[in-house]
Amino acid sequence: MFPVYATDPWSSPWGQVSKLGLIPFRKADRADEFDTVALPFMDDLFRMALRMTRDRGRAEDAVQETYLQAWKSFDRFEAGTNIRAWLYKVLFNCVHHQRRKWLRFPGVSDSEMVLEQVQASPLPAADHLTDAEILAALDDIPEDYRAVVLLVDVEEFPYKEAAEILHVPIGTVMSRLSRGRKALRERLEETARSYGVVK
Amino acid sequence: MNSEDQYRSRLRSAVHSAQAPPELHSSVKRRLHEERRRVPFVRAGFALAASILLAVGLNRAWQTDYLRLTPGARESYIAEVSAQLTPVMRVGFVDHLHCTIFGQNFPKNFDLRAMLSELGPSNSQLYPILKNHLPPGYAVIEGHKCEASGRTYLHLVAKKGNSFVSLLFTRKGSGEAFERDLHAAASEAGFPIYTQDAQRFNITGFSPSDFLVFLVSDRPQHTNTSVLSAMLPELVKASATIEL
Repeated sequence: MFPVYATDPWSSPWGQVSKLGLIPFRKADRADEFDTVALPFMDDLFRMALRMTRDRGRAEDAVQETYLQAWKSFDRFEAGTNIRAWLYKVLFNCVHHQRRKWLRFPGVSDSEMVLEQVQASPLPAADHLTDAEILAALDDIPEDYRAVVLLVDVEEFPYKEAAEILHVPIGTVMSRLSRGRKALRERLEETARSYGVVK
Repeated sequence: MNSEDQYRSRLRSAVHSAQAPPELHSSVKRRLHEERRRVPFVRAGFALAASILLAVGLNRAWQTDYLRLTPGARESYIAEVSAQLTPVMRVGFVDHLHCTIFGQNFPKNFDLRAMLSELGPSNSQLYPILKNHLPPGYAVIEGHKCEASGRTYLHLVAKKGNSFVSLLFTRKGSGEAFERDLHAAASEAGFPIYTQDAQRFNITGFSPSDFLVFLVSDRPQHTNTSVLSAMLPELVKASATIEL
């Protein structure tokens, strides 16, 4: 679905030529390469950063930092892996790093690794709720749960990739997803109830 | 659409309603551009600094003899540095440079018996004298007879890291005397001691009977003088039986 991009310089068109000694491998080529494959994901990264930071300015900072860090480590990008997932991994690292500078968000405890029902339940009266209300409810759930809900339910990453992006075990992803969905549903129910849409 | 799909679809649509501001694209591109320009400058800066350090190091190494790799360059260096010394001091200094600094043809494993055999029974007594008065960390690594500029020397070499000390005995030539050009820097057992510096070296000497004795090293003048002073009575005694 998403481009799987190889960073091995010898596997790129320029690299193949370079390996034959026809054209020296140039940094400018790498810059073009990076821009071509990485910049199209800016909107996705921004949306994720916005939901994670809940602040447009911080989200923009996080995206800029993500691209700088990604460029600096582009040579180390693993060949054959998904560049989109790799960029998200860099983004979460940046958000985590910046978050420590901004303030201390309380993290959730994963001590109870209970695999509850992971299946999504319907949003209560979803048709009656606005985007802003859904986003407000999403922003209100604990950050660690929110990250998993966004990665799995919104960005459609498989559990395994979500686990790699967040540097947590796959079981933790499933557990957080279940709890995140439950927390989101409860908040949306409260909102819907306040409108008298549901009892 | 089932409930799970509906949930995801509604959530996705809400999240995707936010768009990155148009200026973010230009900001990211500008920062990437700055970073890509900055890196070559930083690298160039490091390269320049490294080049300057290398040039300074090479110049220093050239000035202090380490890069005088050809015989011509060495002779040139010896002549240049020796010119700073009085004629009698040159006698000791020249052999130190020829034999110790540029020769360095020392055995890898020090063989005391071979060295004493090379020196001969009458001259072997110099070994314990030097060994017992060396500054801490120095060890005798060589003792032999050698020739430089038409003179014969008894030459013992001690070493610590890259620092060398030479104890040299040679017969006094016609008219050669320290006191002709120098004032004594110290005296010991009635013998005046003379000393001179040339670049990083110090040459300290005295003259028992018809010998010239030198202690040459890259140690400070006061160290060289005190070491030679300490050895002097024993060297004077040894000079009575030295065979050269």
